Amino acid sequence: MSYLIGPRIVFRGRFLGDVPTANNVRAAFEQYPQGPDPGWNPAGSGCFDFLDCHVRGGERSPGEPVGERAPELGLVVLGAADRSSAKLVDLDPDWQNSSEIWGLSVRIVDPATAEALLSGSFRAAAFRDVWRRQLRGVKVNGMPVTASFTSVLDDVVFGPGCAAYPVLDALRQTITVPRLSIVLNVFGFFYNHDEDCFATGSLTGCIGPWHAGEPLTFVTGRRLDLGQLPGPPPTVPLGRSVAAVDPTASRLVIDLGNAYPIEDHTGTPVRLPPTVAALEVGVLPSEAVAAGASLPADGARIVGEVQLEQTLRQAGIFSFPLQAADAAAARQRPLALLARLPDGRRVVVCRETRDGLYVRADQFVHRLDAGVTATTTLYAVRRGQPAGRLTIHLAPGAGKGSVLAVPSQVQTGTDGTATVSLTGADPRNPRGAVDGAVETVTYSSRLTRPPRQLPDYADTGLDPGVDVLVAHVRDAFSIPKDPDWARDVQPLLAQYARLYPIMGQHLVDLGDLEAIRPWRAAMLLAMTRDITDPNHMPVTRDLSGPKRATILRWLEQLSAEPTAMSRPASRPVLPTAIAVTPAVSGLPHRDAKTELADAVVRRALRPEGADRTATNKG
Amino acid sequence: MLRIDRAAIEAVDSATSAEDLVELVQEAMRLEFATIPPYLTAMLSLKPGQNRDIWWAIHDVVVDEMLHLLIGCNLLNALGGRPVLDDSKFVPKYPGTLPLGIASGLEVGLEKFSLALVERVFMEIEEPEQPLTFPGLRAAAADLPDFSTIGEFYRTLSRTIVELGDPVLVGNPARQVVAPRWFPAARLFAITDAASAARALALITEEGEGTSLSPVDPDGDIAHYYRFVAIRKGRRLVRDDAAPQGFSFTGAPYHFDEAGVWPLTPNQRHANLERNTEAWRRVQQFRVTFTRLLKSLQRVVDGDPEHLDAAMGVMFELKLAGQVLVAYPVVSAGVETGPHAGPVFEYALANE
Repeated sequence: MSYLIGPRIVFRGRFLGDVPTANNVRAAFEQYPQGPDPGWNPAGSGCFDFLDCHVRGGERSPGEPVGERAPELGLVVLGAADRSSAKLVDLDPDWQNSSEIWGLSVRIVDPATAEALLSGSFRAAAFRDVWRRQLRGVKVNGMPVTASFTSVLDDVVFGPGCAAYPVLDALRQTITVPRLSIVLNVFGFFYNHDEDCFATGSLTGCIGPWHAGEPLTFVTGRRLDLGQLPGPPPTVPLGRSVAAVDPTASRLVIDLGNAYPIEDHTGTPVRLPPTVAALEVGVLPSEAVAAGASLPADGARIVGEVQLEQTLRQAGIFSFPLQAADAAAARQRPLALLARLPDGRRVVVCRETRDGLYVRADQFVHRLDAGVTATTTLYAVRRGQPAGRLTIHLAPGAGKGSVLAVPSQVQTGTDGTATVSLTGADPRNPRGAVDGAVETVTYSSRLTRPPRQLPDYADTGLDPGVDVLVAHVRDAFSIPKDPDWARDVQPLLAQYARLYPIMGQHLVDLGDLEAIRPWRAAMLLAMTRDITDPNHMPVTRDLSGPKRATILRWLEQLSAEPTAMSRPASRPVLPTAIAVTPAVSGLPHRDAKTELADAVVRRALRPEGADRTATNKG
Repeated sequence: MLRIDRAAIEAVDSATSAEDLVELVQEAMRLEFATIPPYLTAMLSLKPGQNRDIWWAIHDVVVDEMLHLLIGCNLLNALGGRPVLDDSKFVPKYPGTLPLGIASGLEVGLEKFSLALVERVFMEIEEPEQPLTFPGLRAAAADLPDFSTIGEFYRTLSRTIVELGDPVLVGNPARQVVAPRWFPAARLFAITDAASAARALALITEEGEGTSLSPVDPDGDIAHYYRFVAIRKGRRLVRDDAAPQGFSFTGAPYHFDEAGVWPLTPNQRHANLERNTEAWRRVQQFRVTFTRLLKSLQRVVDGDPEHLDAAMGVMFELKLAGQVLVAYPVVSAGVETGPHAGPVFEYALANE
């Protein structure tokens, strides 16, 4: 249950998300120098970095929050010290629903001494729980979409100075392996060129313990589904969240960091409508009580009140003491977020998943070369405890014609986990200039009614368009013994030049042999880096292994770069067709992610009984 | 030419131990590095797709200066010292005199590329004591200097180390940086004795100034000074059997298009940019990346030579960050003021 249980430190600030957007549309893969729509940031570098992030709070131990004079406050959260920036990358133009952060270092640093008190490597993770959380003010920043990156920090090192910081010291003493859990909630992103905000967004985050057996990219616990506050239109939705009861059953902690709706890009929580006196966390009287149901004043066990105005300082994490009777009730019955009405009645806003079951895949984004098998782990919990011997059904989104071989069902072991293998067959190039195919696999512990009998997402706390296994399955490709520039290499590199035009504009046109020659060493470096390395090339991380091997073999045979004495007289770079500062402002920008975020809310709030198995098509 | 404080040379000359040399070698390293910001600023000011030949000529010199820095670090480590790069004081203030330079010497700033800048600053930095003259090159000043040159400094350092002998090179060989992926072994090698130290110092001098007899360094490359002269003259220096010294400025032209240069703010100060402008943030990004470069290089010379790959990655990112930032006009009160933002080579730990 990771950062929800045990000491935790929370921070807030901004982030840089300088994603290149030329590869957002398929046309860019084949048109020179760019497709018809270069997107909102064609000259993006791909860099992700923390901006002005500071520690704002936390808890040293359950119920013991960081005080206003705690030494932790004011510590800065930084990215890499001595290597390149992390990269923010989509899987594919046809799958922009799970952008991943690669190669991120996270450090908590004392700004006075520059000492890294805590540092670790953020394991690459995709965002989850994407939805339209920003309800107003979108004209300012342009993107209403929000999401969470949950992961772990590996190779964690505490600096000697951390002993002077009670929360950091408590964290150090808590862990038995050098790993911590972390969440980054991102919101308020700017497509617009407004002051210094372009390609930046706001961020809250939390770092806490990670315990053996936990997933690496989400938090198992008590999952609450998306719901809406009672009141007249317009709808005020509350996003999906996760809660946990600590091992002593004395506290309930709920993470609303990506769930509470916001008024603007800075993350100001929405003001509750006059029809709602307070937002509370409680335990429902029975499994039968649905979201939207009205309860009498004493109809639910109320655990605590959520003070939304404290959300930013706490990264949206609320911790409540739990009476023994409430803890006992919570072991048997659903948790819920409730709206207290002025007359004392409660309306169920978000409730725990059906039967308290929460089934989710850990690493769900895959890059698969033809013929290669990857595995992922499904975790199943019931009311926060491992759900053993549970059958989980899987179905390829492409049906019988899928190039992904997956079992139709798996059963969890006593630890509540099940391993799923995904094997990619050769897609045989169905998309022309875009390599391979993107395929999804839906999963659930229940099936829809016959005749379809597909994995049923109703009341699971997951979205059928996003919470799937997804794989970019690459076309089979034979590595030539003696790769030829024009036949084998130039087509691959020229495409990359189109998809990552910043490099072609400023340094080297990868479609030009003579332009590449002086960069041989740099390219050999970048193309041999592990995919987790921030310098990995291509930045877009969408090149298959055999194609990479082809380029490398060719590079190794390429003669050394010429010296200044013999350097040719001219060296072309791509024409400057792409403006560095495109004039984008004023209007919300419709893109795949915004449409996805709207679809997620629509699907969650659609009437009971509606089909919730459809894969996302925006 | 760059006028070196004679006291520095006298100190090298009178050194009797490694300890006597450490501080002076650190300053020489600072000098090698201090040439990079002015060169890089001029290079970054060249617009994408324009003036590429000049961009490449400067780029090659920057790479050489990085090599010279690493050579200096190898020497310092060989002497048992510790190179200090990860320090806000490592990079000098611009405009100003370069490390080891005399107070009244050449003032070096950070400016957009111009032929005048090449002549006034870049050629001066690299100028040998007695430049060779070739057809097409105007006669050099006849007066012999009454000050020292960097070449003289390195030659004196080399002689002193040779005189002190191998025992003075007490450093841990594991701290030597050798990186054949980036620099051939003939240019970057472990300094383990007086002979290899002398060889390394000769290489630095000759890559900058050439030899006393040739504008070409032992690798067959044109020395920096003559490359800058070639840019200034608009013609590459090439071998020419018909010319008395075997070279002439009759090679392929260096085309310079003045319109292909961003109008950078000279000696940009970050504080002079309005906080809430894109130029401000881009400069901050550059500063943070520059700081990462210093930290990565520090790690390389602190006994982790394999980290040079990561440092090269940061250098690549710095170039991209620089090329992007110079395209941003300076904005004041919401209005573009004309000049563009220039790169700022200052220490910055935290991105904002």
